[in-house]
Order: sequence, then C-alpha cells, then structure tokens
Amino acid sequence: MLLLTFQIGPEAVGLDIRRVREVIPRVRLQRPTGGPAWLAGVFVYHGRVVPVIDLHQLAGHAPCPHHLSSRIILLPVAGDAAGEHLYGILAAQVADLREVPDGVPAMNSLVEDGGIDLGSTVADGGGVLRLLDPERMLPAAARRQILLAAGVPA
Amino acid sequence: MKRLKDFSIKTRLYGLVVNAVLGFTATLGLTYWMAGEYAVSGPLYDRLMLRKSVISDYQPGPMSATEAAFQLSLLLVVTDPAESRSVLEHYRKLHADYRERQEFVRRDLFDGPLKRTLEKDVFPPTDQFFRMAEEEFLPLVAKNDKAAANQLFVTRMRATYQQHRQAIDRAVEVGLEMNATEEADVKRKVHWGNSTLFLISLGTVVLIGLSGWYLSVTIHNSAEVLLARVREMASGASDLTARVPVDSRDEMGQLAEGINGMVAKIQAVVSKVRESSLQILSAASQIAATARQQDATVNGLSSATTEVAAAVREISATGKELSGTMNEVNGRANQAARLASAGRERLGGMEQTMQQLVASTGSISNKLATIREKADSINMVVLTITKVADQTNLLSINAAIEAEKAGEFGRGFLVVAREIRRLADQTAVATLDIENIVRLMQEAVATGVMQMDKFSDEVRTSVTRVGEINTQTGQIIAEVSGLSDRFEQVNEGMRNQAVGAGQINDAMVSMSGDIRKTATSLEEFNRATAHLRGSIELLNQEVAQFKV
Repeated sequence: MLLLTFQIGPEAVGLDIRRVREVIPRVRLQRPTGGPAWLAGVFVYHGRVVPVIDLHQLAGHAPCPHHLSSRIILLPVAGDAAGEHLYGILAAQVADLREVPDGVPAMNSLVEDGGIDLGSTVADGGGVLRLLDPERMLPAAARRQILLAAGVPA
Repeated sequence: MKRLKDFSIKTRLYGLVVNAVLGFTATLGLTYWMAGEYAVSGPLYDRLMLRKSVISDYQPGPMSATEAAFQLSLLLVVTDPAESRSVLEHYRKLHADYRERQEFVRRDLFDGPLKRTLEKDVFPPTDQFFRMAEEEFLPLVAKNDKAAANQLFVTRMRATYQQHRQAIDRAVEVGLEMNATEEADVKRKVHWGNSTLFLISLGTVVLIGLSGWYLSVTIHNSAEVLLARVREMASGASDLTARVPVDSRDEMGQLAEGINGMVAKIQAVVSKVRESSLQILSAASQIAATARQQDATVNGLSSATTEVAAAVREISATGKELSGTMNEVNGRANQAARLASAGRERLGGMEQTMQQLVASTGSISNKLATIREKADSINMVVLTITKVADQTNLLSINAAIEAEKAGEFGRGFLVVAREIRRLADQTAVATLDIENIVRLMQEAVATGVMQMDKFSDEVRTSVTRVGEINTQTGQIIAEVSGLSDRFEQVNEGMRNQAVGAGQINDAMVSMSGDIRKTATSLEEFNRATAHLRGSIELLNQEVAQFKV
C-alpha cells in the first residue's frame, strides 16, 4: 500500500494515495465570515468551490505553518457516487510517498467523543505512523457541515 | 523818687487792704451822717416843715370859704360901685380857686381817711355855701336889696359856713393824726435801716480787711518760698534733687511747678555733663595711653626702617643673580623650541600616512558592500532553485498518484516518479547547504563592515588628535619664541627694580627723618593730652558741686 506522508502538529500521518484526487500547492484561500476556526477557507477548483480544512487547527494545534511543503490534499466527499464534490485538507510536509505492506499489525486509535480521529497507529522504521481514514477523520458535526457546504444531501 | 514798682508786692497788697478799709469806713460815716441829717423829722426836714407851716399860717387856704365869706360881707357894706366891682372880682377868683383846688384834691389825693372826710363832711357844706351865694345872695346884691341879702347872709349862709368850718376842723384833725402816725412809722424804719446798714458795713469792712490780709500773707509766703529757692539756685552750689512743695493750683502753684520743671531739666543736664565729663576723662586717658603706644610704635618704625633698607640692598643683589639665571633659562628654552619644531615635522608625515589609511579603509568598505550585493544575488538564485525543487517534488507526488490509479500500467512510472522525487530532495538539501554558507558569508561581511566602520572612526579620531597635537606643538614653539622677549622684559624689570631699590633706600632715609619729627609731634600731643585731662578734672570738680 502506497501512503502519502505528511505532518499534523508533531504527528506523522500517512494516507492511502488511492483516496487522493490531487495534491496542489497552498493557493490563496478565502475565509468565509462566521465560519468555524478549523475551516482554512475556500477556493475555486475547476469552476467548483472547494472548502479546505486546516487539520492542525482541527487537531487543537497552532495553524498550519507557511512552508513550501505545506500543501492542500484534495479528497472526494464520501457518499458522493459521482465523485464530483471535493474537499481539501491543509497539512505540513506533504512531500513524500512510502510503501507500507498490506496487513501490517496496527493499534486502534484512542479518541474521545467529539475529538478528531487520525486513524490507527502502525510501526514505521523507528517511529510510528497514523493511518488516516478520511471517513472517520472528521467529527460528526464537521462532516455534516462539509457535506452541506459541498451540496451533498446527508 | 521812689516808683510804685519799686515797692514789694507785700507792701503794695497791705497798702491796698488799708486803703480799701479806710475808704469804705469813710464812705460809711458820710452815709450815716447824711441819713441822720436828711431823714424825716431830721433837722433839715424840721426846718422845711416849720417854714411851710408858717407860710400856710399866713396865707388863707383856697379850700376854706373864709376869704370868700369875707368878700361877700364886704359887698354888703361898700357903696362905691367901682370898689364893689373889685370885691366881686376878687370873690370870683376865690370861687374859681376853690373849684380848681377841689378838682386837684379829687384827682390827686390818695385814698384814705383824709379824702373820705373831705368828700363826706367838708365838700357838701362848702358847695352849699357857694351855691347859695351864687343863686340867692348875688342876685339880691345886684338888685341892690341889701336888707334881704343881709338877712340871707346872716341866717342861712352863716349856718352853712358854720357847718363848713366845723368840718374843716375835723378834717385838719384827721390829717394831723395821719401825719403823726406816718412820721413815727418812718422814724422807726429809718432807725432800723441805719442800724442794719451800720452792722452790714462793719461786717463788710472786717471781712475785706481779714480776706485782704489773708490773701497778702498767702501770696507773700509763696513768693518768699519761691524766691528763697531761686536765690539758692542763683548762688551756685545747690541741691538739685530738692523740689518746691506745691500745695495749690493757682498761679503761684503753677509758677512753683514751672520752677520745679526747670530744676529737673537742669538736673538732667548736669547729670549728662557729669557723665560726659567722666567719659571724656576716660577717653583722655585712653588717648594718653594710645599716644604712649604710638611713641613705642614710632620707635619700632625707626628700627624697622633701618631693617627695610638692609632688605632692599639684599633684594638688589638677588635681582642681579636672578638676571643671570634668566639668561641661562632663555638658552634652554630656545633649545626646547628647536626640538619641538623637529617633532612637528615628523607629526606632519604621520598625519599624511593617516589620511592614506582613511582612504584605504573607504575602498575596503566599498568592496565589502559589493560582496554583500553578490551574496544577495546568490540567495535569489538559491530561492529559484528551491522553488524548482519544490515544484518537481509536487509533480512527482501527483505523478505517483496518477500511476497508482493506473494500476499495473503505472508501475514503471511510479519508479520514475520516485527517482524524480529523490533528485528533488537532493537538490533541496544542496540548496539548503548553499543557503547556510551564504548566510555565514553575509554575517562575516556584516561584521567586517562594522569593524571597518569602527576602524575608520578611530583613524579619523587619530587624525583629528594628530592635528590637535600639531597645533599645540605650534603654540608651544610660538610661546617659547615669545619667551625670549619676556625674558628681556624681565631683565629690564630687574634693572628697574634695582633703580627702585635705590629709590626705596633714599625714601627710607628721608622717612627716618620724618619719624623723628613724628616723635617730636607725639611729645607735643602728649603734653596737650595732659592739659586736656587737667581741664576735664576742673570741669568735674565744678559739676561735683551739684547734688543730682
């Protein structure tokens, strides 16, 4: 399984690249007035308004740093069969791919109710890597808002 | 000729009292005599009354009808018509006189028993008599019926006349009685008045005499006391603390107070004079002492003058020595000036070198600035490379995503994408190294620039200091050159001083003479002071006569 690796705060996170639509540089985002703090803003992608979530803010860390490697990962909205609706997540050090064998033993995540779930933890060399699952990542309220913003009926 | 002013006040006052008593007594005696002489029932009154009584005895009263009755009876006996007319005329006059007198009595006589008697008893029969004469008797006589007339006259008229006469007698009695009563009354009153007058006069005379005598004695005594005090004061030595006793507020009392005030003023003045004379005495003593001190001082001054003369000679000799020393110093100063000039030339060379150093520092600074600019250009290039590496990295990631999506067809491309990503990573690392090196270089250049600036400042300061030293050296040389003139001036001063010392010596000699003269004057002054002392002691003795 090939993972796209990046950093959320101090944690190294991996995401199956088959779930990723595209990785783009950090473009200029427009923050909607009255939006939640974890919403980094929206931008236009192929004539469509796409919301971008700052995972650092959502995980309770400082906002994502302005580096060249801080990039936006575009994902299709779950439940959208046509795959037309996208949303972006903003993360740091989005610069490498890693091959992880399938079926590697993983530890389930320990998440409180309402907290962000960065996925199960696997061993990777000397350190650990969280296997991010976009379906479980967002808290229910945030997911609902994303779906509403994307125009998908819940 | 003795004038009134020359008599004493005592004599004058006593004369006034005696004159007053005598004059008053004389006036009183005269009054008393006159009162006795001209009183009612007095000698004069008696003479007048007697004379009047005698005259009235001879003159028929108009109030009485006696004369008229006589004239009427004459008419009965005369035959000659001329004489008859004359008699009738006389009767008419008597009748008129009676009427007039009656009017006078009624009008002027005061009310009393006499007037009442006349009105009541005398006037009616008299009026009756004259009416009968007018109305009955005279017509009968005119008709020449003398018998009827005679008859009438003898009977009725006679009776009326008798009544008239008796009434007159009664009236006279009443009048005399009244006069007697009044005379006795007046006599008693006059006697009482005279006695009272005598007593009052006697009392007044005694009072005037006593009060005059008392007044004279009082004034005389006060005047005696004041006079005694004034004589005492005039005689000189006197007790100035004594005061005249003042026991009245009159002029004499005020005079005594005035004399007391005057004595008090004299006392104050004498006290002041005594104090002042004592002070003057002590001052004179001090002057004498001072004069003695001055005497000693003058003697000291004389010896001091001699010493000064010796000192002046020494100064003169020292001045000559100093002049030689000065010349030596002048030579050394000139040598110092030469050395300073040499130093100054070397300083000039050093200043030039410094200026060159400043120019070199400037060019180094410029070159350092150029290096900094180049480093900035390198940074720009490095940034571009970094961006390119970043884009390459992104491209490889997206390529990998697409290859993964392509499945088996994309396997080969996935490997290519990985190689591209590795190259990009290596590029990024290389640029990071370059970046670090350039940063270090920039820091080094910045430090160099700073140090160059600092060095440049220091060199500039040094140049300024060298300039200042140069100026100061120039001043020193100028000063040392000027010293020569001053040394000449000092030499000149020394010569002048030698001349001055000679003059001082001369002055000292003449001063010795003056001091001897001063000593003589001081002796005279001492004598004068002793004289002053004697005078003041005399003054003190004079003042001591007064008790203050």
